[in-house]
Amino acid sequence: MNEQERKLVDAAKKLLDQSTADLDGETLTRLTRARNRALARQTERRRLFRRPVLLTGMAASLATAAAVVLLAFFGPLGQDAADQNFVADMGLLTSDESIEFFEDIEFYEWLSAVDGEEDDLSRVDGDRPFAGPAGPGLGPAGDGADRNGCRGAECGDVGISRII
Amino acid sequence: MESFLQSIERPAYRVALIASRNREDALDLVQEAMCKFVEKYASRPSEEWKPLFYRILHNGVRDLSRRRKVRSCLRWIGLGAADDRDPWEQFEDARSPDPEHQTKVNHASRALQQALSELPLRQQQAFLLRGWEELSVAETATSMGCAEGSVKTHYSRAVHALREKLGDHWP
Repeated sequence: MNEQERKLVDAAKKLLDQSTADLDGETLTRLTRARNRALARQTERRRLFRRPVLLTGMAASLATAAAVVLLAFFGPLGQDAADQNFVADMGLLTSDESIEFFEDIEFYEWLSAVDGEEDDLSRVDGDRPFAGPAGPGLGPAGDGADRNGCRGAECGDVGISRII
Repeated sequence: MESFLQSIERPAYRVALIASRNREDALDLVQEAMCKFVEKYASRPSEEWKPLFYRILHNGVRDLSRRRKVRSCLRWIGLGAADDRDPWEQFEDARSPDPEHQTKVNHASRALQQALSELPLRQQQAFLLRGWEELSVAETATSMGCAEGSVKTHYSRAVHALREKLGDHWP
């Protein structure tokens, strides 16, 4: 920077300083008000962050949110689901059954469930009270036991408990 | 914090006024910068306060400039009101012990502020922060959000441009 430029900068600095010192009263008042408003906001923020209940609540919320995120991404639930899917896929690939069987697997599951219910109902029918309290020779086994190989009232209890 | 804000409010207002050319906007900019500064940077070391404060202020000036461009577009298509007042008449202080001297100072001051306000914003910032506020190159770079080399370039161009605008016999 040469001498003339330095003079220009010095003169500008002097004028700007003077213009700043000569600010009118209204402007100064408004600047003071702006400063006080900023400081009041700072005080308010400090007071807010000093409240222990609020801080505890914020900490608890943060901890909960972090736990949920961790569980969602790395937790045992997600891992289990992934493992189960992997095992199911491997079962499909290594099975001797045709692909049609797996496509109709829901039907077979339903059929199996219906068969199981019919078996249970037939057991209950065999233990009905009006069929007699399991006297000798009444059961299909012909030795006082029914087709389940049970005797007397104890078989009825077993049958009902199975259904339940 | 209070003494820092007190020390910076007047130069900050002048910087904002030169950039915005409007007293109300300048006062709003200073207040907004003070609030944001206190909110975000009060916990920072006090040596960093000045550059950080000016950075916030200049961001505010930039936002205001963008809003004005939108407003001028609206005015151009006939949706806004025109403002033909001389911006420098809004804040001139008429107090003076010696009217002749004061007139001369006012004239020089007005010419300087006019020349400064006509500079590109970056040159204006570099000149006011380096030349007037005497921030270091590094502090000015922090305030302006640019490299130190850019600060030197902007400052040098600003000084040359002011010399051309104001002439050799100014003030």
